[in-house]
Amino acid sequence: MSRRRVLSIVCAAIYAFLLAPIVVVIIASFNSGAFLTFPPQGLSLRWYSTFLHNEVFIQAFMTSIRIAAVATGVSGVIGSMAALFTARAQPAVANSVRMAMIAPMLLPEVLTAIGLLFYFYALGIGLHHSVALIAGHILLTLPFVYINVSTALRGFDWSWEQAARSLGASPLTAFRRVTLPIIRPGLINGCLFAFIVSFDAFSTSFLLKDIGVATLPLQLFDYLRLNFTPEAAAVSSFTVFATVLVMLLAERLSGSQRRRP
Amino acid sequence: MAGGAACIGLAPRAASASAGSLIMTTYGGSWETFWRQTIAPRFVQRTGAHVTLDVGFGRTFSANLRAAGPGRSDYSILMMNENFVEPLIRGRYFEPLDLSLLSNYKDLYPAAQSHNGYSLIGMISPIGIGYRTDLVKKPPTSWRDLWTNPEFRGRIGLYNLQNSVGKATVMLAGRLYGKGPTDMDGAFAALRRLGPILQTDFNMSTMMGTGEIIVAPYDFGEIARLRNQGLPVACVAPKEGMMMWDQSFTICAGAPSRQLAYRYLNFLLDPEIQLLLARRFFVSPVNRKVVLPPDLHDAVPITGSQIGRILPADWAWTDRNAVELDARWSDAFE
Repeated sequence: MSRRRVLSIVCAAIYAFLLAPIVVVIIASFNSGAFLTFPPQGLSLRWYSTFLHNEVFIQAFMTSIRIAAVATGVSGVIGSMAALFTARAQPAVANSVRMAMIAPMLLPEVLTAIGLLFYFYALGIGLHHSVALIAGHILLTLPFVYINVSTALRGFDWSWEQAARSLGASPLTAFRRVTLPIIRPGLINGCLFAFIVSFDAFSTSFLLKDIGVATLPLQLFDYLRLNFTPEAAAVSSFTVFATVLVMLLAERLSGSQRRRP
Repeated sequence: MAGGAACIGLAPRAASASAGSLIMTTYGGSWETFWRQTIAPRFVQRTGAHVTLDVGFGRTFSANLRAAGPGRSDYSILMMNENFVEPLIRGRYFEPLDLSLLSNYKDLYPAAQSHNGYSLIGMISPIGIGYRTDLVKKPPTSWRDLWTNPEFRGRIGLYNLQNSVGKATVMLAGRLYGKGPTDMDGAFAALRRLGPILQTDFNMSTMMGTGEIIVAPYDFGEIARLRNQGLPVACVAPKEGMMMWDQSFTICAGAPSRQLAYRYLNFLLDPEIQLLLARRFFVSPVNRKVVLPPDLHDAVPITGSQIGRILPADWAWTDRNAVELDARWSDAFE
């Protein structure tokens, strides 16, 4: 057997091992029985129907989507601007900004969340109006946009933008027509990661959620503390399907950009 | 359903402005559903108040109280297990209960009455020994059977220290085989003798369902639910007494809706609401005026004088020794 073939088999085995828990959850979600068990006691869409009629879960899903969308949007703007700045700044300044931008990724999520919890109470804002929750999600997602856009900017020749300016384009037009198309794949990938990270964030949401607000991971956690039906697996599987769908869409979007001459 | 995990505007605006607003806390899943569909609407009907439902548990609420500081919380009343309450009392996060505002207090069983002046128990889930009737030949009658019945060896489930019952299990082992509930040496020596166990922080029922475990400390209500789902299980009240999950209620210091919080607590202690809770969650009513209908006798067997058979727990002791308990538990079951 060739080395290449052995390597492929090893890689496939590693992927299978890593993906096995997700496959187990998906199969368990089709369980017709009353318990969250594997293998399932029969196949049914019963728990998907229960989930889709459970307004509490649907509302939590929509809350997660809303918070992830806001966090991704804000991170997309700030992260891109920071990446453009560091690409052009003096090395000493750029390094400081770079460290600040990726710091939330280096710190444990729960520490950032605890810090924000006390910070927002000290400011007198507390957890009202989901300000702390959204700020936490922005911090959490910012490094993903920043790193991806920075990577897209590597090797970018700034003389292209200068050429556009010398031909009469305004700074905004030069950015829109020259820079943005080049960083777009990085921006889309960064935003995709940001959205998924925000959607799945637990510790940040757990500590910073406003009273009466619950994201899907929190709702699922609260549910699983006292209820052990396959509905939890159906909810998890639904989010896996949604995540895969978002990834495919983003890949198509960024892929088409990459292919564009 | 009124919708979602967020606010439920169940009162007209004009009414809520005069009657005030209250944040009700509850747990997730079926608890949230019941609060949303039954408890909150009935309270709104009685008071005209505006209610916001907040889902979480002791750890979430403790973190919020500590971040806000004593007397600065948005919450007025909290429901959590008593092991979370003890450290917060010391931090002055709660006010001493004004029992004159709780007309139902005089009807509570002694086990539910306030022993610290700050909290009272609104719901009791007694914990006995749950077992698989199809897989156990000799049903348990005593906690000591976990140690002595050879068919349980390697098939015992225990709640770990994340759960208050895990801490109560340490105290139980101290009572059974040590000098008393706070004898850590005696307790952990005994727990080590149990041999291999399967531990969980909350979900015992999946392991019981698959037969990975055949015996465990179990609340009678959960056993009733499993039985209704077709699992062959039973629960016994051991002769030495039972443990319990309590739902303790406290009024926050500087509560923004203090009067409404007391009205809500009194409402929960009302025989009518206690019966509703017993029917939905199979919890033992804490109000002695509640008369359980015959169809609930099997699911809620621990009532009346039986409530007195619940062993007291020293949560101040578990709080003071939390770090050592964690270390010793890990050492005993690594």
